[in-house]
Amino acid sequence: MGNEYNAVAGDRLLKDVEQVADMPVALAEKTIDAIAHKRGDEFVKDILAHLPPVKIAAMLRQYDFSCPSIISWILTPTMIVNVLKIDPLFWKNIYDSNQSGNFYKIQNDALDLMTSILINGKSRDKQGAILKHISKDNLSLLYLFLPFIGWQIKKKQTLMIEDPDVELGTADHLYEMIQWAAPYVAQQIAEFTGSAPISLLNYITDLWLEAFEGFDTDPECKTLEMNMFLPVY
Amino acid sequence: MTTELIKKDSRLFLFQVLEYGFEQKRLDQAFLNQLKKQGAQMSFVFAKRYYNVIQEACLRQASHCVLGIINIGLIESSGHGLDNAIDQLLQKGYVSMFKQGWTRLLDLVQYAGNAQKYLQRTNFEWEKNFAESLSAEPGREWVGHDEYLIHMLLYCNQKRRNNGAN
Repeated sequence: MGNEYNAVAGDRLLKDVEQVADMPVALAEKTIDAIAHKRGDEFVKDILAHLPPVKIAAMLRQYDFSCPSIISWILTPTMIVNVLKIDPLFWKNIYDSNQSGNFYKIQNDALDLMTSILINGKSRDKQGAILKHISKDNLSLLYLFLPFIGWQIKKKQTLMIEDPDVELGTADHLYEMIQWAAPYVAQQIAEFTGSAPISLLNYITDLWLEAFEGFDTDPECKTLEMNMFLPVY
Repeated sequence: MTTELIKKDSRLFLFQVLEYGFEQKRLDQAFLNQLKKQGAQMSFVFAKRYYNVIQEACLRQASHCVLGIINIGLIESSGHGLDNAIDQLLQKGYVSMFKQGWTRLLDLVQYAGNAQKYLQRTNFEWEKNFAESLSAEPGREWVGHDEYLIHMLLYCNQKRRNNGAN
């Protein structure tokens, strides 16, 4: 009887995954909410594991940290790392040099995403696990550094006491949370910001290009990109 | 009293050429499949450069822009003649037709940028702007070539005799 039940559940899962993957983002989230009410969080976790990370990132990007997406409670550390890896693909107009305001928006979005992920971790263990996974992966660690470009440690924050003056949703707040959950990651951030100053534009462009390295592996596309926009005379 | 109706084929020039080529048996299915593959790749690269590759609407818009630019390149390099266009396509392929069209667009960007300096647009914005105005959606009437000629007349009087005459 158990096997039969599992087979039915697997069928149901595949159907749900297909259904959710085809939907527009806002609707997909509502559907996942409904499924969670019906079948519980574990089932939703399975669905999310089968969804492409692009879809999950799109759902997370609809909100900010003050009102996070419902799926951010359920995400596992591996899923979060996958989401951070492909999140740079959502950025627009990297080649446009006239868009300096855009880069601050990108940085702000990254700060927002990191904050909402860590706030929803709730327990120190879970936050620690998330940060451990992030620090193991090179690309997502670079993503974690992005909010801290042009930021400096205040002396107060080297203490292990929560500071009531720190505003929620700022880089200070994020640093405090990281230091509480995983001090060695905070140490890495401190070393990163203490080293030579880096231009935000260059950092974002590098991160974007590296995200594409893993995303398109087609060599023909690369050669096309090299010579497609060159004029012929 | 006689009335004369002038019947004009308003479909995309590339599609006219392909159909004509099939009638003449100079093109085959493999050549058509090549268009599918290279068209998808070019749209992807275009979307990566000017929009982004995640949203479906952006990819679709990019594919329309690529199709429009290929049409411009084909018309300009073949002088709007069907036989000539088939020769060009067979010899050079789709990508270099796109490059022909893109070169025309870059000319346009240069002239327009010089003529309207007060707008303070970057080349990037002009390129995106023109690519969108020349974009072609299959199944709809395409006015891209007229747009191209109008922009040329507007921004560059020197080119007028060469391009406006055809």
